[in-house]
Amino acid sequence: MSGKLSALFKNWQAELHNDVMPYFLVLAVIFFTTGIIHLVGADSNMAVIPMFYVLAVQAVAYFLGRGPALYASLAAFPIFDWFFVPPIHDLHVDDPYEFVTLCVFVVTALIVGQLTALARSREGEARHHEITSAALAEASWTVASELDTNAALKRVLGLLARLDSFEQAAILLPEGEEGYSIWSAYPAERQKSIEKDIDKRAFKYAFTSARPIGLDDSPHWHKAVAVASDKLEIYLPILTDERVLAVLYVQMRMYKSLSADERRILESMVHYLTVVVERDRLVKAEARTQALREADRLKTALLQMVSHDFRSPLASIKSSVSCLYEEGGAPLDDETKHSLLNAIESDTDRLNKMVGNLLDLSRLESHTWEPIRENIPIEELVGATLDSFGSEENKRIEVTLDPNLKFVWVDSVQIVQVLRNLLENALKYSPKDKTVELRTIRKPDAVVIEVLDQGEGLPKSDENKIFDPFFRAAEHRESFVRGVGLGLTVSRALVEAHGGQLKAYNRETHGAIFRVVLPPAPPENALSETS
Amino acid sequence: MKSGMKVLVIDDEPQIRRALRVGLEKFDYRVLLASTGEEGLDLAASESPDAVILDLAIPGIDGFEVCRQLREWSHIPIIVLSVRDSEDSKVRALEMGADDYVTKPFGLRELVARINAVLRRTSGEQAPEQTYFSCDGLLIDFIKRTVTIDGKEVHLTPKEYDLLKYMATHADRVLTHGQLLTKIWGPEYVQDHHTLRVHVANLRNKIEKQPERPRYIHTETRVGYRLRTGEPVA
Repeated sequence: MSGKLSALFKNWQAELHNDVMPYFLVLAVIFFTTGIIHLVGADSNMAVIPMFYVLAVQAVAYFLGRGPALYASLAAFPIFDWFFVPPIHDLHVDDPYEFVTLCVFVVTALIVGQLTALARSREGEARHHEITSAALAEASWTVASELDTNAALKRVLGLLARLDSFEQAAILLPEGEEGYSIWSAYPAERQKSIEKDIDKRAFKYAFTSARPIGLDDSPHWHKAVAVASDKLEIYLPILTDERVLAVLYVQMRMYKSLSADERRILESMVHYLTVVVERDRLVKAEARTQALREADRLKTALLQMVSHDFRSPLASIKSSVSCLYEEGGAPLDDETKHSLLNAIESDTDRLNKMVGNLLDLSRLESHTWEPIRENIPIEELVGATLDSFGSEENKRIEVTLDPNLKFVWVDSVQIVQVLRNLLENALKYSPKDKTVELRTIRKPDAVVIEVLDQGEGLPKSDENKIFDPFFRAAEHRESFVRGVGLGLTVSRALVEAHGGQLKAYNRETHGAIFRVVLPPAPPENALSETS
Repeated sequence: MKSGMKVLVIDDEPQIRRALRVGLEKFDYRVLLASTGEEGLDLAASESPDAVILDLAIPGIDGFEVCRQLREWSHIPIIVLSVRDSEDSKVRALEMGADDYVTKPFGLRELVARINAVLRRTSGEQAPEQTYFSCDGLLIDFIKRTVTIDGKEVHLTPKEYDLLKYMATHADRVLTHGQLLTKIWGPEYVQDHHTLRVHVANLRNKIEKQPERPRYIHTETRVGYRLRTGEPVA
């Protein structure tokens, strides 16, 4: 209540300031002129005196406008008469000639005053017009030239500052059910305080009804926002095709209706903002479409490769089973039967692994398999990995653990899978009588786990392609060594999900190194390493 | 293993039921088949099988519920069939009383090895309480509270000893993190997996020759630990 009262009081003060003050000023000017006339001794020459007053009226007209000019002319008349027309200090005029002089003076003062004021206001209008058109031109240039959305928004908002009583502005986006977020604010450093001034309901009204608030005196804005403020708050929807994209919020220093000019500028700026926001939306939609198209292309390629890689074990299983049916032909000996069954089992294992990898890859791509990190003792991680290999394979795996590395901050399921894939790969590509090595290295800023093999190394030109889905080195493509398609692709994706890197290099001697580099545990998780 | 043990298979896939029947009968088991949880519970009550093989994903009342209801009145060993990457459901099933799990697709040899292990265990549990545990060079004397490896005594902290003893008395069983923490530290520590990991790491350093290739205490990633007495069957 008191807020409203004080707002009213301030309004009244402002009106007083605007409407009454000039008239006191006019009286002061006229008396001041009278004093000057006395001082320079011009009062002896009746022809010169009116000149002074006309000059004063003209000055009043120039600086204060038509109303005060009229008032000045009328006020100068009795003062002129009182002080200078004989009988002095009397409003009575003796000489009819003097009376004519007085009348001519009043008419001249009126005409000159009004003309000056008119010229002045035309000049003001022209200048205002110039500022307005300059601002609009700049806005249109900004929109056309500034392709960065945030910069463009900031600059267009900055142009609003040329409005006389502009205080602050912001562009608001809806967030959640009820809230909003500030996309851009001007002045940017006042974003926090601007946020406090914004009325959530006003934003919601402007956004959902697509109608402006505060642009005119329409009653819905008073209803929607009971602003107890001496400032004018404006909410303008930025809309295209009946769809509201955002809301422009503007605060003016003083509480009064906007002039037609100001309204025009605001409306134009909203148009420019619409262009910027709409362009941003389209660019983003385009990027999304592009990404989708790319994903689609990858999926098609993947599907082709998958169907190829799935078909070969299936074909092998099918033919083995047909053989085992023994329909016609000579009966199979036990050894042959056994080898056929072995082939079926290893092919089903391979298929199972491929399905698993494919599922993992799709889960990783859709971000539904985020790592659940825990502090895992390194022996536990390595132990769980080695456990999944048979004793024959384990004999071929050497392990070297850095005694300074006790814990790793990882999702144990995922990293065990990475290490298993890498070791499987290393065993597969190394000669049967050679060992592979798993080693850990503690670096100041990273945890490194390496898998070294003694195979033929990576194909020279294909070093980075080995992580591509379904890549297999050219010389192995048709050979007896069969890859498990996506193993390395999945491993790399898993390591990257941990914020780490998986890279492959050729060793100086013979074979390849697969290096997993993981970020170290965050310091707050450097838990005690003893019981 | 005496022949003629009754195994109840609860799985909704006819192919799996058929394969398990043929396969297990080859190993001298008598096989009972159920395709739903309700049917399985009825058969378990009327036929009192020696072990249950239970698929977690069955229509009607699910595997977890079957597990829970079975455990209300029976200590019959339960082996659950789970799918890959379902550590959470493995943990849940184990904590509801399942004895072990096998991940689909699995080989018959692996399943039979697990059945034999749980049967051996349950028959062992009915035997009089052992005063010691011995396995491949590891000897725990429950009376003197001493642990020796190949005749050499190792010094364990009380918590490490309790942990080892609990795993030894539940040998070949997967013990979930939650179960071990509740048992050794108390229910308020059930979430404190890190404490458990640190103790297991220390324990391994004391009793395993190569902690990264454990002979006794094996890790079931994200599920828990298992003290193995025999070689794993993969």
